[in-house]
Amino acid sequence: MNRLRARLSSLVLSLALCAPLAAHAGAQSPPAAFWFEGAPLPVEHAAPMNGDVAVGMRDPGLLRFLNRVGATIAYGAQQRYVVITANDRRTIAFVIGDARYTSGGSAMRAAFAPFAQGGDIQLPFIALARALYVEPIDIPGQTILEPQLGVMDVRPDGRRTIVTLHAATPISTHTIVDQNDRLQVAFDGVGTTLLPARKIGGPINEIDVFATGNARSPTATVTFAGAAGSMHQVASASPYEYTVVFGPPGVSLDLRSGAAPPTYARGAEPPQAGAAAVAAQPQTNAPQPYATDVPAVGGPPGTSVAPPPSYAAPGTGSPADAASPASASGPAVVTGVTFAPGDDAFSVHLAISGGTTYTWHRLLDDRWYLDLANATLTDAGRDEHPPSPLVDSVRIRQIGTADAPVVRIAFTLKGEHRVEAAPSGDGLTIAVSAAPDDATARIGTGSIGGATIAQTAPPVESAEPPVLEGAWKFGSGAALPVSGSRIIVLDPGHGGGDMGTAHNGLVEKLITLDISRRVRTLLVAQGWTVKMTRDSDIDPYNPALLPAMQTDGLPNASDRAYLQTRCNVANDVDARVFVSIHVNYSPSTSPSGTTFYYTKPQDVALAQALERAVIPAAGTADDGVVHANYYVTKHTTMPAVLIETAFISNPGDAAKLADPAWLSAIARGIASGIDAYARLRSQPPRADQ
Amino acid sequence: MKALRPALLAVLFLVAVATAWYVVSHKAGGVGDTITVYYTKNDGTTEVPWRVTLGAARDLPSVAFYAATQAVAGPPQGVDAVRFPATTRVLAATVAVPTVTIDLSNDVNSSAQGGLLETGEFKGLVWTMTALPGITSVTIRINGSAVATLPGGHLELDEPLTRAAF
Repeated sequence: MNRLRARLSSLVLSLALCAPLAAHAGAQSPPAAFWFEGAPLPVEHAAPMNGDVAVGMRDPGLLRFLNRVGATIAYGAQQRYVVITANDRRTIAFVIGDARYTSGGSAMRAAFAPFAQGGDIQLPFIALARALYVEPIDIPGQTILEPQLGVMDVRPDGRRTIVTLHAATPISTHTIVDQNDRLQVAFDGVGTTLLPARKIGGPINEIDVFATGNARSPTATVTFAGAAGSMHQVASASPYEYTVVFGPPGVSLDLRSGAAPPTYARGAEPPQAGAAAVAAQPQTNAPQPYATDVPAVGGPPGTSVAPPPSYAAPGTGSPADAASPASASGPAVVTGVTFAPGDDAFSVHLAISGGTTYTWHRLLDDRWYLDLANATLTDAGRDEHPPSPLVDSVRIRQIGTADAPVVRIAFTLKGEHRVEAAPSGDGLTIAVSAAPDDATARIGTGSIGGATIAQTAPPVESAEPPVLEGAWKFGSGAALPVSGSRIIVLDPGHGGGDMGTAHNGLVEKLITLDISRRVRTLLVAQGWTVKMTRDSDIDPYNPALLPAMQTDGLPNASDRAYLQTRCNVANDVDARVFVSIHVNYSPSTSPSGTTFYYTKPQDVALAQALERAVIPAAGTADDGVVHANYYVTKHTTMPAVLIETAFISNPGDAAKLADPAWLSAIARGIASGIDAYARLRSQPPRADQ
Repeated sequence: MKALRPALLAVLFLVAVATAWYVVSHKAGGVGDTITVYYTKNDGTTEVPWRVTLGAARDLPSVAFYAATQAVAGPPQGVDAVRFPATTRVLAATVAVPTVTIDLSNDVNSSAQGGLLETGEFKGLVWTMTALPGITSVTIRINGSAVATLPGGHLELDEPLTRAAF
């Protein structure tokens, strides 16, 4: 009897253990085949799970799906995020081991947490598809993935109204009705769950949306009913978008002119200042925002959201004061001063904690001083007479005011010796060398510890050294820096296989060569010797440099050699100045104008001289003197500037770039700027040089 | 009572393990629920911040990867912004405080089309990464390799970039 009881108990226990497994097996029935855009989606392995389907991140079916919807996937090994970027730049971020995910800034919850299996990351495919505006439709034995018109944005813009529809896949349309005040368009291959009808107001009375066809071959038809007498124009910025502008007669409907271009209410996007965005509410089965303690910045797809407090809407001109470059500067403390005298050189190292900016001044009587802004000295000031053939004395003082403390270090030199200031990881080194200096007064600026130069050196006309309480009073008469060389080096950007940018029928490498040749002609006529890094459509890269560059261990060393060749043309002859000529580009047609890029503090005056001469001559918008870490301006040993002459992508600028008269005009400006800068020297160039 | 003691100890042990796991897995590590991502306006210089919600992960390498991906993706379409080429992906983000190394896919090479675009793209990325706690510089790799510049580009990329570089 006991044996029977034991056997029965074992049987019951076995059944109890097996029941959940059997139930689990029943729930995880084989997944239906996926059908997408008229063909089977080649998903190799899909495992149903809690109402969703687990598909591997590297599954060819998933990759093909993402490719068709214009999305990219990123995952870093050993990291927990898998980030998918949608074709409208929304990011959908899954976290391994957590069912919560974010879509366009909204917190959501998936049916299961992504997990690692077999060297791949398994993702909730249905949740991902819906986030990408693709709706799964189950039919027996198959799941059809139907692309949707995911979002309709309606945005008043002055007297006109801009409507943008966004689809999961590239849009294909055919127009059914096209009258001034009425437009009916069929979107082939996409379904829709947008609201069927909505009243708008303004130049559009109503927009109606309805779906026809079937899941395998859907069509969404949209009817725009304009107000009496209204006009419309279609303008789309991407294959996934369809934009139509309605307005009354006499109002420009061209989005590339007149009023600001539209912005579209979606996700975490900023709203247009002063414009009440009217966003459509999609009736979708897409996952709804998950109630969570994680604050969602954006709303669900298709909704308009308020900006976070720190957000500055484009065009408002207030891009976050807290993030302005000036905020990078902080109080700095000079914690130590070290002297290193020698026969051929003399240096002083200032150990500095914190970031700050500095301005140095070369005076006419062999004196040189440097002011550290917003800096304090931990020790008392010092007066030193070092045993050096180069330096007579060095003095360090705390000057300025309590609110604006300044540390000044001043040198009295024993002759026209060159002084250079070089920031380092822990402070600043000022080196005096036996090399001759041109002994003209000048000013330069720099930064330490990540601080940004808030103000460039004052123009030469007002370069009076500041007189601060307790400071030494120095003479005035600062001038632009000069060297003894009479050689100007021009660098026509790009060349040979490197086209630069090419748009509107124009090619950058040819324009830069054309302008450079014109500048050369003018400078030679003014008595300068001009060298060009290239004088034809070639790549000036010097293969002889490659072995040396490869010792850097840089696999892409040819690029470094390519640019270093250009720098060496100037460095090898100790050129007076180096000017690199380029053409700018933007994906938007709106940016225009001329920009003067510099890297080194001693470049600033040259950039300013060029700016003063070029802008009036060329008649372009002045995009200013801008700091940038550009290779050719950084690795040249003389004042160097890279000029982006005009935007090839802007219709107005492109017309200028195509006009030989304008090319001559800007060449005159560049030559004039170089000459004005370089002519401030003790010996004017001779015509025979 | 003696018989219950092992069970009680086991329960206490499990509670301690669960508490330790919770604390470790929810460690903030200096990162809040959102991060600040920057993009550069079409003027090429103005940085605009926006807040992005984080998922559950808070460890700095994961957050750095997420932040870099957001910066490369840029703001939603329609916003006036300088953007990386659409297919550019972040392959890896490696943190060695105070530097983060961002490995970008080859697609970024097509963006060397003028100073505004190139500078604006990397400025937004550098500002985003240096907004993370303890990060002050960004090293760029392209498909795993150090490069001096983009092919035909301007910006020097084989040295760590800081905000002061722009």
